[in-house]
Amino acid sequence: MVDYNNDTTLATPSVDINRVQILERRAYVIESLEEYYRFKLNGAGGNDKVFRSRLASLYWELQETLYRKFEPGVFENMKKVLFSANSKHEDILVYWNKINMLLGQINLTKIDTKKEYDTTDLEAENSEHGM
Amino acid sequence: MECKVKDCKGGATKVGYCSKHFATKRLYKHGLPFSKGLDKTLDGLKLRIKRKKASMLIIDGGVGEGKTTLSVEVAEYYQGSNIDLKKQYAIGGEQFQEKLVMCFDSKLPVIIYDEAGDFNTRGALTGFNQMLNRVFDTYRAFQILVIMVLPSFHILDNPLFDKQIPRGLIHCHGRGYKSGNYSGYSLYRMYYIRDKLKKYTVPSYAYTGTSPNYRGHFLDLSPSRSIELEKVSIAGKMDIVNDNILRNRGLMSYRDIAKKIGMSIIWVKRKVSKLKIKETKIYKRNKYFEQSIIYKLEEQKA
Repeated sequence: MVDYNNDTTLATPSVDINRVQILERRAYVIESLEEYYRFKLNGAGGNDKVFRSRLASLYWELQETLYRKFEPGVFENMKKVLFSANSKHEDILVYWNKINMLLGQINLTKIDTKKEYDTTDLEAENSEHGM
Repeated sequence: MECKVKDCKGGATKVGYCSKHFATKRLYKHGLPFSKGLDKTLDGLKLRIKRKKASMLIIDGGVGEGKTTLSVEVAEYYQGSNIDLKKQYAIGGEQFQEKLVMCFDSKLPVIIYDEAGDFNTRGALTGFNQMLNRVFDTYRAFQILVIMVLPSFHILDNPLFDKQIPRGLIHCHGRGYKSGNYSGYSLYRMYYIRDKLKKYTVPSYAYTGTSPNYRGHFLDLSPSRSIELEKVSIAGKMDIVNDNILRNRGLMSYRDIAKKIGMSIIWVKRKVSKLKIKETKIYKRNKYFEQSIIYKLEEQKA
C-alpha cells in the first residue's frame, strides 16, 4: 500500500492492525475461560474476574461495531451486564457467545469460506473456477 | 434376460452379456471398459454440448500407453454404440476437418482426432493452424464431441486454451498386458500441468506434481475390434510416412502447392492443366510434382 503523505510504498492499513488486536483480545478471553473451567473442574470455587475484565477489553475494542450490529436494547443490556460486579457468570457467557458469533459473521474468524463441490466431476470444477 | 449379442441365447448377467461374451467384450463388472468416474465426465460433456458449448476431451500419454484404445472406448460410451472408424476416426488435422463434416452430415455425435501433434505451437503462424483454429471457433454449432489424442497436450496451439475448448485431460500411463491406467484432470488443473511441463526437466513429473481429479483403469478392446482399429490406424500412419517420403524427395501434391502459393486447389488444378505440366509421380491416385512448379504458378498468379 502506498502512503501518499511521505512517499513510502510500504504501510499497514489501520484496519489490519485493528483486526489483529481484536483477534489477540479474543484469544485472551478464551485463555481466561479455559483457566476458569480448569479450576472449577478441579473442585475450586472458580474466579471469573480475569475472564470478565478481558471480555470488557474486547468490548472496548469492538464497541463501535457492536453498537451498529446489535439492536439498541441488546447493546445497552450487554453494557450493563458486562460492567456490573453483580451480574451472573451465565449472563456474561450469553453475551460472550453473541460477540464470538459476531466475529464469525463479519468474517474475522470465519475460515470455512471455500465452496465445496464434487472434485471428481471435471465440469463441476471447471465451472467453479469460472471456466 | 438374454445376452445382448445377436443370436446368443445365453442367460445374461446384470451387465447384459452372458459369461462367454462378457469375457470377449472386455468389460468391468459395472458394464464399462473403464473405471467409474470417467463416465461422469462424459455425461457432463454431453450436457455441455446440448447447450451448444464447444467441448473437447484430450487424451495424452506416451507411445503405446493405450491412448487410441481408450479414445475408442470413450467415444463408444459417448455414442452408446460402436463408432464407425471410417467416419469417426481421423489421423491428422486435414483428415479431421474432412471427417468432421462427414460426422455432421451423418449426425454422428463424436469424432476422434488422432495424432493431433500436427496442431502445435510451432506452427502457430501457419495457414494450417489458422484453418484449424477457425474450425474450433465454429464447430460448436455441429454439437459434436472432439476427442483429441496426442503424446503431450502442452504442445497444442495456445488459442485453443484461450477459448477454453478442452474441458478435461485423460493422461494414460503404465499400461500392462491386459489393462492400462489413466488419470483425469479438469481444465483448471490442466493449466497447472501446462505451466509445470515447461519448467520441469522430467516432463512426466508435471503430471505427478498435480493431483488428478480421479484415477482409473481401462481394459483392452475385444480382439476383433482391436484388429479393425489397427488396420485403420496403420493405414493412416502409413499415409503420413509415405507423404513424408514424397516430400523428402521434393515432390508436392496439389494440396501442398495450393498451401504454398495461397490459392485454392481447384485454381492449381486448372493452371496445371492449362500449362500442360506433367506430374513426376502418381501415388494412390494423387499426382505429385517437382518444386519448380511453384515458380511457374506464381507467374500465373500475377
